[in-house]
Amino acid sequence: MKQITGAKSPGIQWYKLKQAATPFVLLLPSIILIGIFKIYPIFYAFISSFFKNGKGGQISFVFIQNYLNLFGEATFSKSVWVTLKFCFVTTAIQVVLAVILALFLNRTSKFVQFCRTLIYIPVAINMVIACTVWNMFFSESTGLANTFLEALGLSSQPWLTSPQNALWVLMFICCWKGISYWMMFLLAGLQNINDSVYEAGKLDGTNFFTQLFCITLPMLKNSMLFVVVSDTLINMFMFAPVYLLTNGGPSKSTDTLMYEAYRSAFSYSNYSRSYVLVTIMMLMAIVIAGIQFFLMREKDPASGNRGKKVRTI
Amino acid sequence: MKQSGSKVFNAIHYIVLVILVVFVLFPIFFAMINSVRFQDAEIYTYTQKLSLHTFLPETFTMKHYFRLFAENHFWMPLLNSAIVSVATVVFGFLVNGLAGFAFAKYDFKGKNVLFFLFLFSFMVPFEVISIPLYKICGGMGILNSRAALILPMIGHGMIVFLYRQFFHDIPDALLESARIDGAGTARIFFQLIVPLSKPVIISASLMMFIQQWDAFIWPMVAASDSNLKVIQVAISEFVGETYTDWTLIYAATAIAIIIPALILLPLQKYYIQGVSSAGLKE
Repeated sequence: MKQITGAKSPGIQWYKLKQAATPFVLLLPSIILIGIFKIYPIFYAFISSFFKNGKGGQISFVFIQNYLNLFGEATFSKSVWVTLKFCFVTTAIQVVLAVILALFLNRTSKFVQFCRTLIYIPVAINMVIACTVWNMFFSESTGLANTFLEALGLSSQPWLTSPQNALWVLMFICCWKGISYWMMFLLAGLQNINDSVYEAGKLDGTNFFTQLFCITLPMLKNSMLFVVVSDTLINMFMFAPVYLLTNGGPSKSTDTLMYEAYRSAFSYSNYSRSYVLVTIMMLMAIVIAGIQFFLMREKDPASGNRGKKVRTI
Repeated sequence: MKQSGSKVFNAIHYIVLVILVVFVLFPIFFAMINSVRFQDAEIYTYTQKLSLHTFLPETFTMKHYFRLFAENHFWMPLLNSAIVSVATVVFGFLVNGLAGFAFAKYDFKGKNVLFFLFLFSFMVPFEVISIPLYKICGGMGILNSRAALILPMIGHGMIVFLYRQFFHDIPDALLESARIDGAGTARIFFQLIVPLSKPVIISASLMMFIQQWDAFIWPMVAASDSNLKVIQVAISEFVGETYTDWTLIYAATAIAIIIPALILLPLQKYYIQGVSSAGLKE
């Protein structure tokens, strides 16, 4: 034994080296791809937000001047407000309706399962296609929305052309597409609740409401937390509906931060302003993910100390 | 919930469900019926005044579908989307699967730091980093190529995480015995791990497919050449044009709804499993 381990046989050294190198070989492609395309852009945007492209292409360090310029703009606070309003209202509506829908669909009859499959269809629909399909519905002169209103004896509305309504129309479209997606996870959570818990509750004399608020919802806590955080992140950076349907208007009523960042970069070629916006949004995302990390750790010490920061794709 | 047995409750339950299904399917149905009408004028006539023909087309024709392919070359975006999706899914499996394997079954220096970086990489939504990524890919000279659509989508921290969790539960003894039998790392991965991991591979592949299919800013800015456009970008341009040919647009959207629905619906169980095991603690 001693001789073998002690001997500096080139074969064994080679074997050991190979063993030590294997994980790095396996990881190399992902390190390169994630490094270049996922992590580098984060730092690239952050660092570039402190520089300015001058005339003639020279780049100068301006520290926080780009930020101060942005904060000084009259429309910036409006964009923040629109983004937050859209995000929180849409997330609240989506989560509440997704919970209700999941409760409705948590049954085993054939009919319910058939309905469930149909309700999943919007999950497979790209946001662009959802917007296209709803676009004509909300057209002022030829849309069905106004035709329905008139049939009910109400006056027709300007939808996407009205500063009061446009954001709500976008919320409506995002809810239509999003509710079934989030419902999927809540339903999976509901199905994980053991029937014996309900049986035990029944012995203690629960009615419909005590069952819902004292058993079902508390046991759905983790799924809810995941859904709320992921949904907030997606709604915070909503882009396609604004780009396709309103272009940020009318009178900036749908001008979200993501759309501003896009326009800064690709319409006005003002990249430093765009990087400032991107940096602000990245910070927002990290804070939200951090809150989830914190809550999952706090509320659930029993299932290990591995808190996971998560969002959906 | 499962046993609230009164008949009234059941009736209400069914009525609400039917209303919900109608609400969800209505716009899809609307797109489909309008894609088989003869001309746009018919759509306008019946949307401005409700009648049976608002919901059932008077005429039936498939000519807009033919027009879509013959005149508007819609097979190009279809083909592009297919190439990009398949490439992302296949390379995504290799790259993220091997990384997950390394994290699950090997110990090495810097493992925790690296794992933290991978987790950090998916805290920031991809849409947000599209703008710096545009500059970076521009510097690399890969803009306006399929590589620009595929490469950034392959490496994904969440998918690595998903694979790691699954591989972690495969017993070490199994790997050891294979190693003693003389199997190398590649053989262990492809002949032992992969056959055991079909469910997680399906979940992860669906997640990658949906990620590619849901992206919009990136494919729009990264591949603006008309022969590289993916479906969602092509459709967004139909809408943007000043003359909106609605029958044609609806024909395109009908196709863009049916294909992914046919892929996703039979496999949705795996998708839910994948996202919930990556996103929730069990």
